Amino acid sequence: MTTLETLDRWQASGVISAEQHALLRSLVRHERFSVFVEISALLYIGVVATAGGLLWTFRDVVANLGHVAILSLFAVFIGGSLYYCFTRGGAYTNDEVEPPSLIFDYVLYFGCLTFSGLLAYLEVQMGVFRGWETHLLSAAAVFGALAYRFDNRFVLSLALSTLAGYLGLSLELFDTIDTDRLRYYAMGYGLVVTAIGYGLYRQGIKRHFLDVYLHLGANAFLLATVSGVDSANGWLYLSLLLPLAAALIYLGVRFDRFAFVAYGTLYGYAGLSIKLLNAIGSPTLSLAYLVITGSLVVIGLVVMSRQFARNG
Amino acid sequence: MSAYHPDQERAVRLLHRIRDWHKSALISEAQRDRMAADLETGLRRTNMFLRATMFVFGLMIALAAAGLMGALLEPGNSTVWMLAAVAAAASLAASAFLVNTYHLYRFGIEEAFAVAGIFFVAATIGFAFEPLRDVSGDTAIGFAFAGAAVAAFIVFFHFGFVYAAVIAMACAAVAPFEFVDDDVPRRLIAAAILAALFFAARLQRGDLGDEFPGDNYAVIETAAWGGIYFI
Repeated sequence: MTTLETLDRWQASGVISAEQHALLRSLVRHERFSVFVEISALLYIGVVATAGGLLWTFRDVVANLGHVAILSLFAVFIGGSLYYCFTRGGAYTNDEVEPPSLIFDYVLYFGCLTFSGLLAYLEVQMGVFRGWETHLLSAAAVFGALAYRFDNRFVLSLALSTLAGYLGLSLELFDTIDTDRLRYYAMGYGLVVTAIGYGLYRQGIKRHFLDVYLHLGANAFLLATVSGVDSANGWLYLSLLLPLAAALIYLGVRFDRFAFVAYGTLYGYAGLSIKLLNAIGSPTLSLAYLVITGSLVVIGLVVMSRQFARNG
Repeated sequence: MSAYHPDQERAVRLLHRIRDWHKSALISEAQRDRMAADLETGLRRTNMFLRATMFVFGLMIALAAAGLMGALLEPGNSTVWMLAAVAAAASLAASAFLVNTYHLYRFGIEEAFAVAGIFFVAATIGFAFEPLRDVSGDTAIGFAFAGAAVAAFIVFFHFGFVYAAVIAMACAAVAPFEFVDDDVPRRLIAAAILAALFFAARLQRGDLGDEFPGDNYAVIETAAWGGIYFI
C-alpha cells in the first residue's frame, strides 16, 4: 500500500480530517516541499566562503590598500553584522528563542568569523598581543557572549572550541605532543565546560545549551583519558576512564541521550582494550580477545536496547 | 529477493514522516500514536547512536574473526583466497541470519556483517587473481573492485542498504582504472559505467518519486551524477 493510499485509508477511518488529508497529501506529492536544509547549507557555505575570501583578499592586497583601509573594512563588516543582529533580534531571554529570519544566524556567524579574521590580521600584520593566547581568549569571550545574547548553539560551539584552542587543546597538538600535562589540561577543560553547562542549566539560563557543553566536555575528558592509557600512568587514566564510561552509559540510558551511551561504550572499550592487548601480546590471542569481547559488547547493547527498542 | 517486504519498507518511511508531521504540528499526539500503531512492521530497530556503535563493533568482530582464522590456519599464498571466501560467505550468512531470524532492520550489526562480506568478496577475488600480476600489474585489483561492485549491488538489492549501492558504483567506477593504462579511455569507461547506472536507476525510479523504492533510486542517481563530475 502506497503512502497516498494509506492517507486515504486514515481519512476514511476518521484518523485524520479532510483538511489534514489534503495538506499531508500535498506534502507527500511534493506539491509543497521544504528547501530549508538546502538554503541553510548554501548560506553556511556562502558565509564561510565570504569570510575566507575576505581574509585572502586582505592578505594579498595589504601592500596596496594599507592597514587603515583594511581595518576600516573589517569594522564595516563586523559593525554591520552586529547592527543587523541587535536591531533585528528580540530582547534577551533565558528561554529558547527562534531566530527572527532565516539569514539571522548566518549574519551573526559571518560577524564572528570576520571578528576572528580581524584578530588574526592584527596579530600577523602588527603583532599586537605577541602571541595567539590573548586572541583566542578574547574571541572565545565575544563568541560566548553573542551565543547567549542571540541564542545560537553554533556560535556557542565556536566559543567553546576557541576556548579549547586557548588551552592548547587542538587535535593537532593531541597527535603530536604526548605529555601528561596536555591531558590534564584537556581533562580540566572537559570538567570545567561540563560544570559551566550544568551550572547554567540549574540556573535556568538557556537550558537547551546543556547538550553542547556535555558533548564537548565528555569528548575532551574521554579522549584525554584514552590517550593516556598507554602512557606510564596508564592505570591512573584507566581508573578514571572506566567509571566515567559506566556513568555515561547509565545516565545516557536514563535520560534518553544515546550519544553518551555510544561515547561510554566506545571510549571505555578502547581504553580497556589498549591496556589488555598490551598485556596479552600474542596476535592470535589478541584477535580472539577482539572477537569474544566485541561479541559480548554487542550482546550487551542488544539486551540494553530491548528496553527502548523501536519495534514496529 | 529482498529481505524486507515493500510494505515494511514503506511503513518504516511513513513512520519517519509521521514523526516529522507531529514535530511540525500538522497532526496531534493522539493521531501520531494511532497512525504509528497502524503501521506495525514486525521489524526490530534501534536509534542511530546504538546503530553506529553496533556497526563499529560488528565490523571489528568480522575482521578480527577472519584474522583469527588466518592466524590459526596460516594459509599459503595460493590458498589465502579460500580463507577470504569462507569469511565472505560467513559474513553474508550471518547478516542474512540476523535479518531473517531476529527481524533486524538497520540495527547496525547486520549491516556491519554485510559490509564486511563485500570487503571479503573483494579480497577473495583479489587473492584468487593474484597470479595474473605477472601478466598485468593491477589486473587482480581491478577484478577485486569489479567483484566488490557485484557483491555490493547484491547486498543493496537484498537488504536495501542504499550506501551499498553507492559503494558498488564507486567500485565499478574505479575498476577500469586498474585495467586500462591510458588516462582518457579509462575515465571514459568509468563515466560510461556511471552514466549507465544513472539511466538504469532513472528507469527504475519511473514515477515513484519519493515512494519506496524511488527514494533509493534517487540517491543512486545523485551519486552516479556526482561520480561522473568527479571523474
